[in-house]
Amino acid sequence: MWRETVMLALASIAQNRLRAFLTTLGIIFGVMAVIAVVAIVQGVFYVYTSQLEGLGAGFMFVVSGNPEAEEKIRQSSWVTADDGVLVEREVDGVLAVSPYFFDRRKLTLRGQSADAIIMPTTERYPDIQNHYVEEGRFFTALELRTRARVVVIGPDLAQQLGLMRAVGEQVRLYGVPFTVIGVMEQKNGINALGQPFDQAAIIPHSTALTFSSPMRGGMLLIKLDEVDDVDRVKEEVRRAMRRGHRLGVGEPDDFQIITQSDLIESVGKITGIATWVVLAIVGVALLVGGIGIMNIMLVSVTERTREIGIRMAVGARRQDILAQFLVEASLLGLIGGLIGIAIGYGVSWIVTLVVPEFPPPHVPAWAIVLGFVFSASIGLIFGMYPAARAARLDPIEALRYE
Amino acid sequence: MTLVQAQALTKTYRMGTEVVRALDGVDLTIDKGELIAIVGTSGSGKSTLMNLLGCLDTPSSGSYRLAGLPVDQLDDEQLAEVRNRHIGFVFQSFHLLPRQSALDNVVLPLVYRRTDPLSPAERKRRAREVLEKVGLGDRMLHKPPELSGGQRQRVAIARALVNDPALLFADEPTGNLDSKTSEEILALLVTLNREHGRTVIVVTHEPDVARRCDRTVQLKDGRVVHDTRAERTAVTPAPGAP
Ligand SMILES: Nc1ncnc2c1ncn2[C@@H]1O[C@H](COP(=O)(O)OP(=O)(O)OP(=O)(O)O)[C@@H](O)[C@H]1O
Ligand SMILES: [Mg+2]
Repeated sequence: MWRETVMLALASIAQNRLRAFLTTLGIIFGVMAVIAVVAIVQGVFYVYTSQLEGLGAGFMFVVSGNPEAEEKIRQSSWVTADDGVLVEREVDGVLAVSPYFFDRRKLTLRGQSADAIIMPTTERYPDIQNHYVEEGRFFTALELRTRARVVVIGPDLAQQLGLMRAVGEQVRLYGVPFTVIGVMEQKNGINALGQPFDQAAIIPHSTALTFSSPMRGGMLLIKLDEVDDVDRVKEEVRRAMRRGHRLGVGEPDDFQIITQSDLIESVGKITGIATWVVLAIVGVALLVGGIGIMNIMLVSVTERTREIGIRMAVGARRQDILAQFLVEASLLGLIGGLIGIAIGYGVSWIVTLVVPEFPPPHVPAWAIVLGFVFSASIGLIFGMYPAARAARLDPIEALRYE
Repeated sequence: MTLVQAQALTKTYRMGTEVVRALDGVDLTIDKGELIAIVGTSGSGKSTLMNLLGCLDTPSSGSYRLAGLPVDQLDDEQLAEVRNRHIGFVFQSFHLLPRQSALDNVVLPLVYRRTDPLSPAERKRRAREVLEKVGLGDRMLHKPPELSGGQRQRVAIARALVNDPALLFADEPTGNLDSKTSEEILALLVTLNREHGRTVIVVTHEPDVARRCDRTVQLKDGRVVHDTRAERTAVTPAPGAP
């Protein structure tokens, strides 16, 4: 019986393909928007979390400035490498601190040039970031102290320069020669400053300071000994920083300490907002799509009054007629949902391809299941009234209907 | 054996303030195997009676037993079951589903068969068998618009027969057909009665048709005015003859 009902509904939809398509536009758009938003948000979230995981659990950032402070903060009070040294020396439970900022420059090799993200840091970087060299070596503490002109480049950069064996080559950066001493391993994605890992040219922090001053975006990347000690370490880092920046009692912090839980919270806020946006779209789509289906099903019931009479005359029960129209309405919704999922996925890919460095979309299974359930239930709910009207028809009057 | 037992069947319609008595106290007993013509002027209540006896409609008052079942006390769902298993209906305007093949039209009552349901293959097999029997073996996959009037009515008869009902109703089955085709359809109905012992009730305007039946019930203004039995030309003896 169910098999016939579904076949019947499909045949009836197939007879009026264009109408079915127009009817389900509301649902198509709704589901499409849901899937696209979810795919994009989840894509960003996915990249972000994998990056957080890449850093390891116990870490925090110290960034310049404090958006929460009401008074104006001195412009000169940037977070510097010296702050890093201070924090590493004074705070218990800190494993390593690396200053961290970036600078976009051209890197050239025998006339070939490539865009490099210059990442000045210390020799502690590989351990802190869980990111190691593939070939050659990282620079040493000695090289950091002596402002050596050495560079470790990302694999994409090596490739753009057409280097098969990069180690030992002389490249030009800031107009002076640097020796390539290593190539980092492939690590897709972006770092905490939003820059692609594999495009980086990592140089000693001290060396970088001779060419450019750390911008406002400079920060400290702190790796902790213990994961469960975060709150205490955060407070101690804060005290050390205040001492280092000579802040008096009552003066606001001129820096901000961001822990992993702060980050997760802010990611949660973004996804929370996105969820509300999705819910709003869902609400509108529900109304538009549902009313579209109800309207067309009412038309369909009227057009098929005689058919309903015939079916009743040969033994269809009221519930059989009800089921027939409910299944048809649900299938309309479901087909709309299917098209919506496909288009939504396509749209999120287009966004990824058009916007540079945008992470690929990620559609979780729950979103697809949700899309299906949502579109089918809209069909079901808004199909109820037309189906009930069909089932209530009097067989004789239905047969007599012209 | 009594198949239909109707007593004081009444059907009224309210038209504004006026009450129309479409049927006005009809008593009717029909035995198994009878071939009955129902005649009367237009508006005399023939279709109303057929619809009541065929369980498509319920009476305003009166009692109706079909093969012992108190039909007047059944609910919608049970009535659907009775229509499905015990009754076949043939209409003047065929009432076929225009977009489905002859075969699918005939399969339809089997789809709604709930007691001892049949597999889709078995439904098709039975539908084919009945279509062969009404002489449409070569037109099974045609859709109604591709068939002549006579062929359409044969499909409708096949549909009415496919569940092997005890009672076959035909409300002016030849009303939309030319005289030659009418003759063929009528012959088919007579054969169904004579050779298969099926109870057949035909509403007709034509005296010709009525003459071929065992019994003629004449209605006027919703009442039975004549109930006459003709001299049998039949192979089967008239059951329950006086
Ligand atoms: N749904 C209805 N509402 C009101 N009156 C009705 C309805 N159905 C039938 N009638 C009335 O009941 C009476 C009997 O109608 P019925 O259709 O049974 O006549 P009939 O004998 O079949 O006529 P015909 O030979 O023209 O088919 C008529 O007067 C008709 O107007
Ligand atoms: Mg009539």
